Amino acid sequence: MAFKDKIDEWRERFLEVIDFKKDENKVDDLVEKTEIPPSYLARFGYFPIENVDQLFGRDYELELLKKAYDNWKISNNLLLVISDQGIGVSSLINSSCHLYPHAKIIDETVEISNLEGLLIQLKKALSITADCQSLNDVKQAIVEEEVVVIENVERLFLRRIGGFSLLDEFLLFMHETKEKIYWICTMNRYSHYYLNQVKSVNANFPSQISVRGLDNDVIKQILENRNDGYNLTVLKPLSLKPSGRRKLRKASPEERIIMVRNRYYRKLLEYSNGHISRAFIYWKHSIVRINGKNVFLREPEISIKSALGKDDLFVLEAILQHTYIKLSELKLVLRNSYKASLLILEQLKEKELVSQRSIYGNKNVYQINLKFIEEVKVLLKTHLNRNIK
Amino acid sequence: MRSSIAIILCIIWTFSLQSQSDTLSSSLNGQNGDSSSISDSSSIPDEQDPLDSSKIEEISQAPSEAGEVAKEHFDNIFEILSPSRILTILFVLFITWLFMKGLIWLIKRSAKRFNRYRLLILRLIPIFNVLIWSVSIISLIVTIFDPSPQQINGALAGSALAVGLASQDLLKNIFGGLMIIFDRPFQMGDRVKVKDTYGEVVHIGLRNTQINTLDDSIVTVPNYVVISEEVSNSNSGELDCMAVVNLWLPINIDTERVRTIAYEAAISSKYLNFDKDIAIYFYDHFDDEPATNVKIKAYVLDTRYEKNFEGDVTEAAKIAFNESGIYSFTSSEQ
Repeated sequence: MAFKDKIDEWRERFLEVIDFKKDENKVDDLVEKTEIPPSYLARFGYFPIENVDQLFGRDYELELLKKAYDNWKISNNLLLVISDQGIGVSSLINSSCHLYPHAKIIDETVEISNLEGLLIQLKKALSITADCQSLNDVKQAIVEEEVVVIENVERLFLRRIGGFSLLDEFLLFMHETKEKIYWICTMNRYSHYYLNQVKSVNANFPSQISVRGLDNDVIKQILENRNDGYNLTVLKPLSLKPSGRRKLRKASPEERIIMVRNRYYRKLLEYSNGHISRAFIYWKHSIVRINGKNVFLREPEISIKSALGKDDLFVLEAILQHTYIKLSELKLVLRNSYKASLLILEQLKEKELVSQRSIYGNKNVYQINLKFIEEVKVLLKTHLNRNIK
Repeated sequence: MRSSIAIILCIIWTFSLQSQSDTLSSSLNGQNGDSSSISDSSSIPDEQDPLDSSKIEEISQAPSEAGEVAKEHFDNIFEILSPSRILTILFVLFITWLFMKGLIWLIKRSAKRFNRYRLLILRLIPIFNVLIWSVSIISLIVTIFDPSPQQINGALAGSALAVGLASQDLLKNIFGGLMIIFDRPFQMGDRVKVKDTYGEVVHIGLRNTQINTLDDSIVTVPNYVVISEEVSNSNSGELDCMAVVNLWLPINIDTERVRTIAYEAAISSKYLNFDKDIAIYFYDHFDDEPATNVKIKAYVLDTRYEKNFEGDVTEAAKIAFNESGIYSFTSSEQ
């Protein structure tokens, strides 16, 4: 029996490797989502931390931020913070404000993808009351020294002819004002990869900080803190290989609990890859039920369900390059019609690869679902020959 | 498959000739009493003269024995080509062919699955093709005919002569195929131009190479043509290749504006490999009407997107030139 299982296992693995579809029927066995009490769910929200005491595992980055600020005082260097989405860069920036108490943050929820929006936000951040029609007007109106943080500066470009001028103008504006303003820009790593290749953005930022993933211990620590007051029980995974099942059978009940728990955390950390947001996603997907203060968890199966075509990947790449994109913008980037762009977005939403978000005063933007963001990057690398590290 | 059958038939023919020559020599040896006396003149005993009168007599009777020799020769062929042997040969060739088909399917499937390593994986096909067919044919010869070293030598010499004379072009193609596989001027998946044919190499066989042209036609080029002609290879085993976009504009354009549009048209294309540099050149032409030729040289992320990229960039640039009044400005100037 064990031998037959082994053969079946290898057969499945082989068919999976060669991407062989044995069945054309597509009716998945869906399971109803577990109802999670809002009080518990609130513990895993994606809101950025603002207090440095609550920030874990970022001592090195904080030290670099301080050093970069000291350097600016001497050489007026612009600072670029490069990070993956969902890695916690907003928490890092917000928590670092104790280094520069009067810092103004132009965060990701406000619109800066056009000149009007950018001027409004700059005037607000620099406390300018005068009427400004251009970046040059803003430059003339700056009086005080300030520290300004712009989150996701890649929102200033759109991948189309004429779509790079706002970013170019703003880079020039930052250079012209860097003696008075300490500019800190954050950028999504994939946007940075693209913009650096086609526009050499690195050359504008003598100071750069690349935010890496959190250590596994820190992620475990954060998860334990968020579960403070709850008893956790990890259930045996449903899709266990025959060898794993045998190991569990042979183990004592105490050993079995430890084995299942260790395996769960190993899988969680593998999936999260240092991204705290992805760790939360995994955690939320693994909740089977909550009885009072008892939380029952089981390894979830998180994988892209259906195969993606080249066109899907081109759309996903376009979204990833811009971090957030509106439908009207995507239409211009893809040189598509409105309906065709909407249709492809709906298909990707169906596959849970893209999620919709209401920001910029209730305007809908699309972004890559954090649940599959790493998988999408792998697909771009393997199928589109992109060399993202 | 057809090449293999041809080779096997040649070898059988050679073996039959070889067996006949062995029979003849043994009959002569039988009269000499020593087989070495024919093959090695230095070991001829002094007291025996190989050309004594009785042997001269026998040789003079040779024309009258020609019919018997021919009969013996055909008997040898029938002996070698017994029904069971023919069936075994056909069965082994069929199994090899089936195995190769399965292997090629698997390799192509893997190439599709691991697109990034597509060209690397596809290179295996011609190598496996030669290797597996060679092993199959050699095993057939060794197990079915069980040749002696002498027969092998004879077969090699005989087959070289027979095949060379009977099928010069086939042999040229086979050697050409082997040269392509081992010398590797191009590989499966490369974009090549042979004579006037440009496209992706989809098959490298022992006799011919197949190229899938840009209008999706399969062109079969004999291998001896491939090795005797100049072959230009656009990507040399890399996934990406350079694409050149030609834009034709009036002569008195704002080059700075055009350069910006051309560059942004290239960098905004989804097919661009942005790891490599983009070059833009301007050339003046005064052939029929004065015109500016703008060449955008960039790399596409996959050779298959070469024409998609050219079309995409041309379309985007054309719209932008119209919007920015580059065409209309120049026409009013003229």
